[in-house]
Amino acid sequence: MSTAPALEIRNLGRRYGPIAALDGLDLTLDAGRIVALFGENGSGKTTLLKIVAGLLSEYTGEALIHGHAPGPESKAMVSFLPDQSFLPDTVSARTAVSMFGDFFADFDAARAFALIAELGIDAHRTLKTLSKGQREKVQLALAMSRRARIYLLDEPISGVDPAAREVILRTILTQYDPGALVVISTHLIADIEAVADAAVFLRAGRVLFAGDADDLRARHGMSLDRLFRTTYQNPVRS
Amino acid sequence: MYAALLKHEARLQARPLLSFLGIALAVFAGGLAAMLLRVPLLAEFGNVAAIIVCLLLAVGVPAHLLHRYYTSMYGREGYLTHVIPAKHTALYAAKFTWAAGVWAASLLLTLALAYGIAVAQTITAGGTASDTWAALATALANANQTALALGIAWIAVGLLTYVAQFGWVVTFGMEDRFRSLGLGGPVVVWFVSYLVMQVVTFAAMVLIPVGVTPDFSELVFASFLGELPKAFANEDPSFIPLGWLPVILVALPVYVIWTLHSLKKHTSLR
Amino acid sequence: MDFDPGQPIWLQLVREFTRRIGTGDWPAGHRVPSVRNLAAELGVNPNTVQRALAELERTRLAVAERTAGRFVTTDTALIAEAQLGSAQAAADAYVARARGLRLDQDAALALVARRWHVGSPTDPSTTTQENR
Repeated sequence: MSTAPALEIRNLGRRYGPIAALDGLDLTLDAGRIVALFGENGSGKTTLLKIVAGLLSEYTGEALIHGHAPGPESKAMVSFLPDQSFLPDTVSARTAVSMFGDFFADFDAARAFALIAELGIDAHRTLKTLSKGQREKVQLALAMSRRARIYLLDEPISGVDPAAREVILRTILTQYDPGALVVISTHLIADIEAVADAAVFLRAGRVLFAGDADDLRARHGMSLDRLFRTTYQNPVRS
Repeated sequence: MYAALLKHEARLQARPLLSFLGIALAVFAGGLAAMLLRVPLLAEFGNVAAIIVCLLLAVGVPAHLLHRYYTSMYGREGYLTHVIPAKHTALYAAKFTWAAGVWAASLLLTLALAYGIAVAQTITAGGTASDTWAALATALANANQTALALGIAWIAVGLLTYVAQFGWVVTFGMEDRFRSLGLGGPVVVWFVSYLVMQVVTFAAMVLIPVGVTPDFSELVFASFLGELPKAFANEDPSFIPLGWLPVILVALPVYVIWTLHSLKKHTSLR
Repeated sequence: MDFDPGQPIWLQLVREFTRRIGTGDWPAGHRVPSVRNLAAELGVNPNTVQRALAELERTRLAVAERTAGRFVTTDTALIAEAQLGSAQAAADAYVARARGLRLDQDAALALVARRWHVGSPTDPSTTTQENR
């Protein structure tokens, strides 16, 4: 096994026309942590995750996943849950499980079925008959049923009711491999205060600050949620 | 991974394709039955319906394949397609095989259906099914064999080229540089490349001095430039130009290689 | 349990685990639940649980045994101290309020004696009432 960090990002840049979504972002994350990725809309959270997942080939700088640039090797290690409904409407959860089994060597179908049942979803129903929240749960169950080395979860709890949120966070806590890295992007900070042990704050495509969650609390004397609000009320330093 | 990707295409598309096929065949059978039973009024209508089914098959299947390529690669399903740990070559190979295979099958089926219509028309006109077969056999026997072989090869290469071209149009048209155009990207790419191909094909036809005599008996190595006035005057030129052939043959690998490069270096999901 | 997200969560976990040992919820000499189970039960990051348990080991309330896992101490003096320690904050708060109300020590103790049987001692809500 390599000694490279789980995720090593150096001077990462990505533009959408005149707008820089990522502007020289540097970040190193080690395995075995659950990292909360915070930032306002447009701060670059989703762009960062998409580059690491291998969905955006055009960027400057470097993104290394256990030492690999995004590509087939890194994709075999990364389980990405986008904030998109990526499954075809016409399949059932059962078929989706079979699809994941075909594509991902680290996928555990039994675990997926157990999770889908636990989340209260009938695996035989086609996805188009499920609600948006139910579809998100199916996708979460699939993503968490890979024994991946890195999980990238983009807004996994934003579209569901508080009760389901609880189940989803518990799923993240109990299902991930302790040697894996989990990155959760969200603007619902209060919900994941206790779940994350590290936090990264993005602003305008750069890391504003990052660190151990409890150390940040001790240093600033406030919750991550308060810290986020106070930080982002201030105008962008130029 | 190639096999898994191909299985994925089949799993997602078998049902819509088969239901489309089922409806088409049912309408076709109804139309043919109306013709053969000489149902007043309906017989004519049945003939038209059967022909429309053939046209729909010929147009609908490639349209469906093009749509599936777009949605599975660049629609929301692309968020699954592009996180699969497959090489871009395997992904492309699976997409290509599926599209070319399904389209070829649908063309063969269309031919069979067209033959069915011809049989029904012959019977309606008082002939027998074997008359149609005899007529077809005679036509094939009398046709210039070289021209026939060339024609079939041209259709096969043309099919592959079309698959490669439309794959390229979508892949290149969805690159980041065309982001502001949205879905207009592929449309613009298609239109511009169509114009370019017309010009290049015409230029190659005129400038590359290769042709064949009208009876396909021997090659002619002369510029078609001198024959152009005749062609414009609606007279038969003394030979058929073949300068466009290399363009078609070169276009296929160019489309494939360019698409692979675009997939590897310029994939940008929106 | 609910956390105050304004304070480091691992310290809150240390207090909670100390309380569990002091009250005998985690009996002396018994195995401490696994990090994974505690994380799931409390809805807390496993590393944070780990950090709190490491602190328990540092204060000797828990003892790690290389292969068998982690066990609650058998040192009854330490456990009694943990029990007192957990109640101390509540006692301090009561003393402060009683002083504020100009009660003397005898009156304050008499009040405790009088109120002792109100509410069952096994009622879990009494532990939270102490904090009011």
